[in-house]
Amino acid sequence: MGILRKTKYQSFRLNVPGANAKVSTQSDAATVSNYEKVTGVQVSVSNAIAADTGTFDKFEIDSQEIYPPGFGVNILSCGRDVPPNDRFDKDVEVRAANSPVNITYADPNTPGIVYPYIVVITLKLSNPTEFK
Amino acid sequence: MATSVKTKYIVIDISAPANGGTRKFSRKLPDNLALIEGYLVTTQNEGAIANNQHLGFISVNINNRMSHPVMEPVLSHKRAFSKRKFSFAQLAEPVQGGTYVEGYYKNDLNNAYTVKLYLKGKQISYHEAK
Repeated sequence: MGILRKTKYQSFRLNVPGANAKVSTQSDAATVSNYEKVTGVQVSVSNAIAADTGTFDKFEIDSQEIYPPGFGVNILSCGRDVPPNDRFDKDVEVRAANSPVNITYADPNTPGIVYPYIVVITLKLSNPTEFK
Repeated sequence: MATSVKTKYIVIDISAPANGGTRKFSRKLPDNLALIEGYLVTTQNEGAIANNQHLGFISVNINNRMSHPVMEPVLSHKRAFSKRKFSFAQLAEPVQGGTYVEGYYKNDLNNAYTVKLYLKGKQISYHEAK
């Protein structure tokens, strides 16, 4: 039997082309198969104004709502001075193991945003124990 | 029958009216919401002049006005993006599912902007045990 590793970080990248755009993960987006749970969520946005005003229209993993429509990306994002393990919303626990990831980001069309920009959603995947 | 408890967020958008006006809000909570354990108020587009200043005042009632846990000023912060992460202020409010969260936001500035009230709760669901 192979080793089950404890932690993996998996990212989903969304390219936002213009004002008012709604950008979604691909229809077949899913967590990797050999990790049991999603235990953290972090978001980073390449445009500072969009990072403060952008929202999610949908954020579902394993067909379960994690964040409701209108949830601000600023709640899930921070800068590099925050310690790495503190950057994640840890109050998330949903089945991973090839679960569908269905996320839609809505551009806020705030004055000053320069297009295109990028939104990256990073999931922390965990296994509870290690086996050999 | 198995029970699962999950985190559930409620987001309420409030348009702060111009010229010191007051905006009421009301939202029906999900039927299976059992507890509100935190809240967070953020603002957007209040303008650079509002940096680090008092913006307004928010009041929040829960359980069809049986409980009044939040009544406080709202401040603007120029967010030092690299140093801060938003976190929820603690509450421990048992909720009767299907009741309303209501309240108002009083704008103490002359310009309009957006306020977001986040409630973090726990919802209970029942399902067949596997």
